Amino acid sequence: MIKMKIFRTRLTASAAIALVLCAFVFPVAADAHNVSKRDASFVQSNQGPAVAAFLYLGAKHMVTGYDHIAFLVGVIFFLYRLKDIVQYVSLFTLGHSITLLAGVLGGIHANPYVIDAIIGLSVVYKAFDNMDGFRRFLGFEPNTKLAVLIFGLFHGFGLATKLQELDLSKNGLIENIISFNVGVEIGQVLALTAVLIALSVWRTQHGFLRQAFTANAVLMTVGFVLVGYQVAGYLVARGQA
Amino acid sequence: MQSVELQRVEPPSRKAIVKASLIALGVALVILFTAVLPAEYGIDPLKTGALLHLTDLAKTAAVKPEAKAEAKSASGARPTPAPAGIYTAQSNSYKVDSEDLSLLPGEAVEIKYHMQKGAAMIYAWKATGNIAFEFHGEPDQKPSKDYFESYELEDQAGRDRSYGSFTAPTTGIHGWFWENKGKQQVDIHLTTAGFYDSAKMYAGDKPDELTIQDAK
Repeated sequence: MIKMKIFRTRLTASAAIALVLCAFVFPVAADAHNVSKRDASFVQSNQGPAVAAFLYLGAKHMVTGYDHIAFLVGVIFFLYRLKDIVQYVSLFTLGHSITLLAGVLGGIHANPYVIDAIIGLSVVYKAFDNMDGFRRFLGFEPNTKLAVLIFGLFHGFGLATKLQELDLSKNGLIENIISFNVGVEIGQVLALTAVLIALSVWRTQHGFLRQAFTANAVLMTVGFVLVGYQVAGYLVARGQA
Repeated sequence: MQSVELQRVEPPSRKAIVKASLIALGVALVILFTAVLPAEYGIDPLKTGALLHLTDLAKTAAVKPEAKAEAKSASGARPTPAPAGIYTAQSNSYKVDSEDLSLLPGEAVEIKYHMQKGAAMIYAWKATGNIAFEFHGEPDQKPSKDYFESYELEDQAGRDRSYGSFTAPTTGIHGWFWENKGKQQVDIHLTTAGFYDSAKMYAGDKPDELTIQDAK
């Protein structure tokens, strides 16, 4: 699966480079959650299938969505073998694809703040897991594959709420959602590649495991900040309604 | 090599995990209250946002255009460039529509356009006689089923025309309700142009989708 995706990315190598550049150049793109205004007005005015545009938006969302990336960093932190990485990432992909498609096509409107808070919690969960917390306190580690799949489902709902905010045209809806989803996978591969390169270099250093504990504490901090950010957003939005 | 290292390093103790988790939570709370909440929502219980001018971020969108305009007009009598807010960039969904309606005494009809918040429309309608009407809107996200916002209301004597420009205050459907309270048939001709994405007519039980044109 990964291989196929990498192949696909190679095919669009120039697009990939443009994507990565975009992620760093456009400050608006650093906002994890709101597809930027310019993109939003494009999506709203778009009628009919626009495969390339939605591919791009999906990939951009993933590459610049720090909550998804934080979770993936947690997931692959201690995965050394390519086979394991492929398995876990596939489970995550399966999970978020199901809810992205079901959410948008089935018109399921989840509260984006609640979903994003859960996504933040997924980061905290994975960081705690990486710190060996579950084994130390529960005496066992909850099935990690199942956890990745379940959190994948929530991440998919998060992606769905972002697309739903944009009032998609019914015309070409399915093509566009699938394009967005494929774009998300491309973005995921791009982001993962960068993370993996960094992790691989880090792993060869002395004291990686000691630093890993601290790194996961930092990751947990990021997760808590994300949760607080969304909970506050939820309360503010409720106060205004 | 890595497996060797794995064995050499002691797994973290419970105490270390609790300590690290609490530090993570504490640092997160500090970041949230000193930086994220002031910058994102203007919530500033510790006044650090004001100190670091982070709360400005939360206000930026609302304040900037006015502040700029003021600064410019104060700078002298020379004609200055148009202040921000003179024009608003819009999506490329520019549409035009015209509708002819005939209302027998006692009949009522509604024409509503679905618009994004901030989308603009210009409109004109003329009628063959005075007719009661209300220009109003219903947000997509409304607090209750029958919620609406009234923009222009003339429900007694009525009027025979109205011209104007309109900027949608919310994402939702915005348009007119006309009711013929007189004794003669009234014909209405409505023309609109703007950045709406669909139009509906409500006359009977369920709304009819109207065909709108892309502006050529």
